[in-house]
Amino acid sequence: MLDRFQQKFVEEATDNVASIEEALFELESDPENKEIIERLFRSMHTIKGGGAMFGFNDLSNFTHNLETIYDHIRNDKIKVTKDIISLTFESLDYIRQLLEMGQLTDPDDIARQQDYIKRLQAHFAPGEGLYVNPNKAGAQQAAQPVQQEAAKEEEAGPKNYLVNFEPFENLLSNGTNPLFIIEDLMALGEAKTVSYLQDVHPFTEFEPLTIRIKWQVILQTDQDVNDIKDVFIFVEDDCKVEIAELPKGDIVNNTDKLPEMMANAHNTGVMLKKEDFDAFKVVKAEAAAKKQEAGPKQPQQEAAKIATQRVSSAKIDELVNAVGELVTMQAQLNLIASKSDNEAFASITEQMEKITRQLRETSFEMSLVPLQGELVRFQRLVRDLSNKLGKELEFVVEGGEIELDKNIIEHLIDPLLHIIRNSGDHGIEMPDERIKKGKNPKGTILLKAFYSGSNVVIQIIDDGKGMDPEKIFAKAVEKGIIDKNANLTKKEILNLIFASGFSTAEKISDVSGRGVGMDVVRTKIQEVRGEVTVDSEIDKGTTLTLDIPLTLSIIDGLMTKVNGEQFIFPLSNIERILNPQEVKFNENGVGNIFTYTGEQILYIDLNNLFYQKPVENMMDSKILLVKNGDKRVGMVIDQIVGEYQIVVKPLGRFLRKVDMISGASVMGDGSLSLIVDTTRLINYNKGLRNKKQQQVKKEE
Amino acid sequence: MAENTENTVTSVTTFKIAGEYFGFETMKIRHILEYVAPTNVPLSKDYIMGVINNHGNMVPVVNTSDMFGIKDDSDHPEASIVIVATDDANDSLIGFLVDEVDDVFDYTPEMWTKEVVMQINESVQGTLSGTIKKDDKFVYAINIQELAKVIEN
Repeated sequence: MLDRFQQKFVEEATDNVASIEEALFELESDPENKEIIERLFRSMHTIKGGGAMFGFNDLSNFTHNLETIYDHIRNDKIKVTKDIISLTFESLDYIRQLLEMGQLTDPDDIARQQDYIKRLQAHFAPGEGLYVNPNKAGAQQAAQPVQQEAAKEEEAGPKNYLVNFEPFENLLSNGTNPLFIIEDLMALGEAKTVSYLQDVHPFTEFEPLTIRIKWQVILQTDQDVNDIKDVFIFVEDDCKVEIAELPKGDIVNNTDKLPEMMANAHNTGVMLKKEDFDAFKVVKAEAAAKKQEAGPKQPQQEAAKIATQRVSSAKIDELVNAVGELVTMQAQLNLIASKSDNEAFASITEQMEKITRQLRETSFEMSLVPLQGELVRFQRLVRDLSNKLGKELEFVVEGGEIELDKNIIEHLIDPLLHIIRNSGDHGIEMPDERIKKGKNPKGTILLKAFYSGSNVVIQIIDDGKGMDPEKIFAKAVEKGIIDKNANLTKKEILNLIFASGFSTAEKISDVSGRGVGMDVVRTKIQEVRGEVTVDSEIDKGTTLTLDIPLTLSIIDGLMTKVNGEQFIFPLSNIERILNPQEVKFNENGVGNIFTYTGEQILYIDLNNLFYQKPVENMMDSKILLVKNGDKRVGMVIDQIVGEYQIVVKPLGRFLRKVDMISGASVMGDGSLSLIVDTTRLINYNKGLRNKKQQQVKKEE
Repeated sequence: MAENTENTVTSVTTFKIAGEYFGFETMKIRHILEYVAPTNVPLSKDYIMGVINNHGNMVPVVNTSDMFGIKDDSDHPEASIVIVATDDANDSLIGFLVDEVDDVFDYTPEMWTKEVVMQINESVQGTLSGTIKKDDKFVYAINIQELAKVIEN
């Protein structure tokens, strides 16, 4: 059993592995980039150190060997090769396994580890960087690697930057306090600041809305230039910022030259220049000694800037559930308050409602996570595919910052992996074939995510060979999915690939399996009330579109009545509420169609659909104009009750087949309302009509 | 409900539908509620009356006499909804409308027989797993898991 600290280590190491993986992709496209190599090295070092500390010695040993490779790379002893990158990827998988297994006991596992290590060691000269197990070896030996590490760090010393910050006169007018910026800078490490007041007007001419002060910050930090630039991210346009790298070493705590330099600059108004600091280049030994003194200061600074916090997802789920209950209670309270004569009570209820709404929004945001975090997995998949299939594949992401309910994201991973695998395996052609077609030999798989109303759309777009509707049609007939006389549009044909028992793969490959996939993909996506469709153009490529709701728990809804029962429509799906007088019903009785603003719109009579009794007087009803993809559909209901914030409760598996009702909600008065899934409803209605048409045909 | 073959004591909760006695394993019962009208769910199976709110969870309610195809015309002022958990899953709760909850008692293997003389709708006949004889009363034991399967499919 892992103790609390070990668990924490595993969590953090897993994060580190993920960030190494991410950095590795960057390195692959930019193999000379020292900054990335440093980053990789540091993450590996953290895993190694933590591993040894928390009893993951095999992990530590293994990572040490991997780290040695990158140590050589950063010291220019060896170059980054494709081989090394592939080996690193493989090693990361292995590290993940080690994190799960802990210490190895099985002799087979130990032998496997030895193999792995040998492969790593093949990349550097034998004898170098030999790992000494701190627990098993003698004390003297054990100290060795640690000392080496320390030596390295001394040599490097902390990085120093000279940051010039010259605000434009109007900086204050956008509400920025320049002192906060300087505080943010100083929080990055240790710093000394020089201010230049020469341009400030005398008090009699003082203009409180303009700023004429300049600053220079000498910053000693282990962060890189980008982190410094980030400080200025919101004021970029309102000031001039220059960042110069200074010699390494402990400049900030220098007592012998620095104070004089700073005082001089402050008094004369002649700003410090990079060259002024050349004199500090030689003070290495001193600096190292000072650094040890300053040692204990470091953790304090770190503790002061906790910006994010790890919370178990179970706790967030709990919070969201509790807020859901609160919203329901609030509705009850509102109802009681509205019937009460007590004004104070009404006013407090109103205040509380505001807080409840705020709480609902915050907790809802908390349960969202960016798609970004999961993308490395797809990137990795494409890379592996590319190697395995001998195809050149590139994975491009647009909109990775899009956020979704984490429960939904968890549900999407497998379907997306499957779709991307299909694109790589079946979609993208071999390079020579692509050249013959006049395409770039490198195939692209694009993952594009964007918001659309209360939904998120995720598209997987490849530029491969596309799908042939004729082939799909023939295959669907052969498999008995459709009748050979069926009259289908191209889109309908393409979407047959989601029918169960359909596979487009002409030969079975070990990458995409037996083509059992696409119907499973659809089922999985429908589980989170999403939809998936496909579009394809021969030789141009294929696009799979996933349309997914942002959240499953709380929505804004419009309550209506049909046949005396309460039904709720998600507000985001409703475009407009129409009076029957505003539209022109099709008189000749062909289908349920009315004309509104020149457009022919299909309508569904919910009284008829739900209770098999057509609405008695259409003119007394109301019509909801509902968006359905690029089309609009009218829903005829009896009455509109009002707008409500509702907590969606699933109907459970015994009513799973009733899929045009997505759930129910407890209203303030304790009654239940059913929530209508408009997309499903339209599809269900379409299905019914098709069935009827078929029946009519048969009877003929 | 499984046949009680081992020499143990098992508890059964009995109820009446159309004058006949049926029983659920007591351990599976979560709540017994006075009858409340469920909210109708359109296009669901005929014997599903709708859903009720049970501590924030939506629980479907089955009209048991409709499902079994046995009915009498008398009033049932004691009508109740028996909520059972069909397994450990979160959404495994289901309510059964019964005319009247009767008794809770323990039975021994001697009281159990596999024979079921009671005839109900063919689709659910197989969910009656045996008969428990107590004094001069015959209780038809219902296998809840099997019954849940019929409702789910």
